[in-house]
Amino acid sequence: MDDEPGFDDFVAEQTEALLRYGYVLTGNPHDAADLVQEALIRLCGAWPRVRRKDSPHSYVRTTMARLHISVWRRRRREHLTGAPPDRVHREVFPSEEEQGLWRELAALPRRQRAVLVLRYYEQLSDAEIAKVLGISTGTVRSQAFRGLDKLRSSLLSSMETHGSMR
Amino acid sequence: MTDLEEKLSRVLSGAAHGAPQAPDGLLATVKTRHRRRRARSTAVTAAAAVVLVAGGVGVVVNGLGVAGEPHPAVSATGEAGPPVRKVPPPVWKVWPQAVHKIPARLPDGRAYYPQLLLDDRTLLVMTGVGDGKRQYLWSYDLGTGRPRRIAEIPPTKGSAIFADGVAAGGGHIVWWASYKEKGGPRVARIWTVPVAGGRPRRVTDVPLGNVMKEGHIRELAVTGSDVVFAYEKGGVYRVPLSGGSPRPVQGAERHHILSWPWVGVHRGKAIFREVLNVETGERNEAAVKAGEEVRCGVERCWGIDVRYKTVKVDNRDSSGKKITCGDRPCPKTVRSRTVLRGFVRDRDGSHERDLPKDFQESSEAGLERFFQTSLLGPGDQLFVALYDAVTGRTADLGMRPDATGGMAMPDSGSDRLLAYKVGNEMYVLDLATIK
Repeated sequence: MDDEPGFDDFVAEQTEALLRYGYVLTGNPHDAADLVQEALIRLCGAWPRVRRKDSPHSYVRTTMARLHISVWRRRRREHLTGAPPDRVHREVFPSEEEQGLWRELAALPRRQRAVLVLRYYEQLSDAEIAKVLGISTGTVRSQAFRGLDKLRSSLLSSMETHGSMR
Repeated sequence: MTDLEEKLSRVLSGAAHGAPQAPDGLLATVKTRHRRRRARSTAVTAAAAVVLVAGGVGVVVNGLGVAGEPHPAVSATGEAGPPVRKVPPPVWKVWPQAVHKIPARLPDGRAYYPQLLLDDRTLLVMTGVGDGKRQYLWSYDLGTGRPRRIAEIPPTKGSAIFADGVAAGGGHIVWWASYKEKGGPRVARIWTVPVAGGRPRRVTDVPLGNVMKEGHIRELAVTGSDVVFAYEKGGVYRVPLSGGSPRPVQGAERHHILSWPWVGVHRGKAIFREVLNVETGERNEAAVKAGEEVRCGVERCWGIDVRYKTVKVDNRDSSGKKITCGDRPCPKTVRSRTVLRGFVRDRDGSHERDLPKDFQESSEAGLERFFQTSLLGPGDQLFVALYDAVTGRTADLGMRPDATGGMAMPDSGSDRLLAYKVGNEMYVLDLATIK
C-alpha cells in the first residue's frame, strides 16, 4: 500500500506524458527527467490535498512549468535521477526547417519558451498560461510575441544562409 | 494560426517523441526523497517536541512525530536511511513455473516493450517505442522465442501521445493515441487490429476537451464487440469496435473501470470501495473500518490502518527561549501519522491477514494478490521484493541497480503479467500460474 492511495498509479500512468511535456519544455532529456522527478516529489507531499481537489494533472504540470522558469533550475544542478534516461533520444523531423525550429527554440529564454510550449503544445489559452506561470496575460502575450519574433527572424536568416528549405 | 505557429505546434509534437523514458526506479526515488525531506522537517520539529515533553505538558511525540510508522530512522545528521533487509530467495526458485527468461531484444536486435499476455505462452510486445519512427506490435511465442509481426501502429503525426493503453480481448487488440488536427479539437483516437494481424482500423475519435484539466482516457478494454474506456477524471464510455460515437455507460458517469464489467468510484482514501457490475446491476460496497485507507479489487481490498493526530508543540527550550526552525518560527502543531498495520482481505471483510511491515507501502503487482516494493539489502543495495498475500511467500525479483545506481521498477498493472529487464534478459512472470 502506498502512502497516499492513487499516487503510485498516477506516477505509473502519467510519467511518460510528463516526460514528453518536460522534454518540449526544456529541450533536454536530462532536464526533463529532473523536472519530472522534482515535480513528482512535490506532488507526493501535496498529494492528499491535490487529490481531493482532483487536480494532480494541473498541479504537476504547473509545478514543472514554474520550476523550469524559476531559480530552482539554475541553482540546483543536483542530479535527481538515479540514472540518466536510457532512451536513445533522436528527434526525427520531417524537414530541415523543423529541425532548425527546434534548435532555435533552445536559444530562447526559458520564460518565452515556456509560454510557447504552453500555447502550442499544451494548447492553453493566454489566460490559462498566465495562471500556470503566475504572470499577467499581458506578459504572456508580450513573451509569446517576442519568442515568435525571434524564431521568425532566426529562421529567415538561416534560410538566407542555406537557401530555401522548401 | 500563422504558418510559423503551425510549424511550431508540429515541431513540439514531433519533438515530444524524442522524450526520455521514465528514469529507472522513478517512483521509488520520488518516494524515498519525499520521505527524506519529510523526515528532515519532522526532525526539526522533533527538537521542539522533546522540549514540550520536558516541560511536562504531557503529550509525547517520538523522534519523527510519527509513532510506529515504518519510515526511515533519522540518523544523527538528520538524514534518513531506510532499514536494511535480508534478501529473500530469487523468484525463479520460489515460483519456477511462473518465470520465463527471454532475450531483451528481438532476434533482429530491436528493443521491445511487453504489453500483456495474450495467452499462456504468447506475449504481446511493442517495438519502436524509443528508437525509431515506426512502431510495431508483435506477438512473441514464449516457447519458441519467435516473434510474429501483427501490425504497424499508424504513425501519429500531429500527435502528442502515441499508442497508449494497449488492451486485448476476443481476438482484437486496441490502443489509443492523442491527435490534434488543424483547426480541430484534440482527440484520443482509438485503433483496433485483429490479434491474427492486419491493418489497424480507426474505431473512433474521443473528444478530449482540456487535457490539462480533464486528463486523457484510460482503462481501455475489449468486451464482446465493444471497446470500453474511462476518462481520467472518471466517466465510462462504450463504442462498438466497428465504429461509431462513444456512448456513456449508464450508472457509470463518474466511474473508473476496475475490471470489466466492474466499475467503481475513487472516493477520498477509498479506491473502488464501491463497485458496480454494469452488466448485471449488482453493487458491492466493501467493508472498511474508520481510519482505514484502502484500494479494492473485484474480490479483495488491501490497505493500511492509519491514525492522524494533531498535537500542540511548545516552541520554547528549557530556559524559555523560543526555538526557531531555520529563519522561521517553528510550527505550533505537529500532525502525526501513525500506520498501525497493513492488511489484505476479502471485500466482505473476511479472510483478513496482515501485510508484512515492508509491504505496507508497496504497490499491487497483480491479481489483487501480489505486492511489490523496493527494499534496501545488505551492502546498501536496492532490490525489489514480490509478496504473495495468499501463500505468504516473498521472492527477490532479481533486479539490481545498474552502474549508475538506477533501477527500473516493473510496471505494476493488476493483470497477470509482470515483466522487467535484468541485464540482457527480459523476465516475464505469468502470475496466473502461481497457485
